[in-house]
Amino acid sequence: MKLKKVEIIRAPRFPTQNAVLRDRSLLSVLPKRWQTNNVVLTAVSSLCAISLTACNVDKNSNGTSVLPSPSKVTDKIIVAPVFKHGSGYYEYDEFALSGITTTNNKIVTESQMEDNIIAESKLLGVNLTKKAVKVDHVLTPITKLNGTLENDVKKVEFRKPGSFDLDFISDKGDIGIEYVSYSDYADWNEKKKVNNDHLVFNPYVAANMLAEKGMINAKSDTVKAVGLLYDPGKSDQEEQIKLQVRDFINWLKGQGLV
Amino acid sequence: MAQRTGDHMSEEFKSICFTLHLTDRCNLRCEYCNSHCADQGGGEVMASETAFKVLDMCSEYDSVGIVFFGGEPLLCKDLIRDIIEYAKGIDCIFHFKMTTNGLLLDAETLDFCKNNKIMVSLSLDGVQQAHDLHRKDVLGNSTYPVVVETAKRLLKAMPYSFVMLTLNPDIVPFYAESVKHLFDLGFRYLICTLNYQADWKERDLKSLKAEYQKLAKIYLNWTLAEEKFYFSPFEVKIMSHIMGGESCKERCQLGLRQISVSPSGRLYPCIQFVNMDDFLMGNVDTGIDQEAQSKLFERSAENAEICIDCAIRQRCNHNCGCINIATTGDINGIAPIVCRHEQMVLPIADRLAEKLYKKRSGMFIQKQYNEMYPLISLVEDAVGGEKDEIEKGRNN
Repeated sequence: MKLKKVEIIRAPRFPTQNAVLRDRSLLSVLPKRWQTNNVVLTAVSSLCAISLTACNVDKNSNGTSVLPSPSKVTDKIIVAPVFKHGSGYYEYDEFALSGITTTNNKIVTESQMEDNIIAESKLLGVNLTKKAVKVDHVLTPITKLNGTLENDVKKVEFRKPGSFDLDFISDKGDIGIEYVSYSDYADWNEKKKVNNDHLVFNPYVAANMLAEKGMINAKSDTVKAVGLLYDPGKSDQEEQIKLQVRDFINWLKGQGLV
Repeated sequence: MAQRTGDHMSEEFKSICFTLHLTDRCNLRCEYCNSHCADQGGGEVMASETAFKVLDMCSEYDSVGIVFFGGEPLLCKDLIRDIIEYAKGIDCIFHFKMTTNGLLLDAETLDFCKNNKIMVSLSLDGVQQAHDLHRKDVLGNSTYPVVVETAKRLLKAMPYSFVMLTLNPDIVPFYAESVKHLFDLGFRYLICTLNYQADWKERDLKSLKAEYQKLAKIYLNWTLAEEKFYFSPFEVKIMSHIMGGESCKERCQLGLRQISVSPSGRLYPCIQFVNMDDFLMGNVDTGIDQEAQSKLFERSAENAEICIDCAIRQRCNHNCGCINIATTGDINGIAPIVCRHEQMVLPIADRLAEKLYKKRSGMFIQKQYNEMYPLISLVEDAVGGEKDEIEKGRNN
């Protein structure tokens, strides 16, 4: 018997707690016998009212409790897991094609990858627009272009919380997507000047860092959920990005968000 | 996300659990036993002064769990009584628990547990064929008839008692049947744990998967019938998604949330570490060695190489230092059986939860998503309903 890592996991199609906190209507589904028990119904309504407030109590500087405004209760964004399709790994000895990824005989530009994301989402029922939408309280990982960034959140440095522009937004304005590409990776680089003779980078790792830490406290008044897609690496990019989109939208369905 | 650092603990950590290894002695001879009762006859017994010193350490916390553990803790009934009495003089909220094989849980002891709110976890491996494979007395006789009678009395007095089933490879063929049996006895908190140290073969895993699939159907039917229960292997995995992966990170806070106290009063991070000098974290006279505690915690937060890029690492139990040390001798070492078991249970639990969500099962939704569910459930039990159901189960 040997250890074996899991490469891909099917996204669960039931919601997370955060999704339910955003839309508490799910909690109105009660066991049948509760529905006919007045004492239990009273307990449900009063205890749920307490939890709605008590669980979201903030403390001010004096340590006294203050109830949050309704918008504050619901402005935390749910971040989807990063669905791995493609290693994301790139290594170039002479890198000259900024923002462009190459396959054997085919060049797929970042713009083409973005078109793929929009088209695949539309096929699956989610209309996206390429538009920068700001979310707050995001920590961007500090990336490296001359060596691999470790895929371990404890070993990666992050910048201080700040605003962050997502790449895509749904028609309703509630679903955002960030496509982590070479250009993002370069923007988040630890140094301004990079030795272009030997570049190593991995947008998958950067996307994972955003999912695991960078975006867990991300907030927005309008965006409810964010998907993190990434440049899949050197082979089958178009197919791989479509698979990422498919998994993300399946995940949204599982959350009851689309 | 809670930061996994020692500094974090000092500011916010106001509750802790001390597991008191009252004695190494035991009146059973279970081959798979994880406790340190190798010297079955003349093992060490904790002195009352040692236990009192632990309680004296508790006043700095808001809430403390005290677990009476062994060996068999009921071999030290007088000591347990002394500890409960001494705790009454300490300004702290105590939650007492006991893990017992049940052989010495007589009517008087049961009354004492009930009156002093000691939550009892009874070790019972399910149907008789399964239980008798390992849980034998010193003469090698079956303990099943006595333990089942004890279970019935226990549930009558304390309906929310836990039952603990240890799954050895040879018990696997009885797994689903055993869980159902424990439920029929009236248990609603079913804690089932693999004996990870056993010699697991591929055929055992195949059989185990089939049993989990049977259990998923049973779980589905119970939930749709609006039964209230907790079946640990599925609950933990379902919760790992619902909580967005945070539940696994929070679960093993090695040496922070739980301290094991050996009979001689030495402090260790968890039950598997007792008497392992490398993991000593102080003693009852000098208190918790915070430097050792922080170092251990930092060490336990490291990921094994193979886990770093694994798609289920945020929902996996690979970071349980206690299981890791028991199976590999390294707090960050992953045993293949742990890895395989996690990969087996997770998709079964996910599909089960998906079905229940799709069916909009009220019981599933309330249990998994409503943080007030335990209180509402207690209200329901207090006005009837569920208690009658449990009673019905016990009488079957």
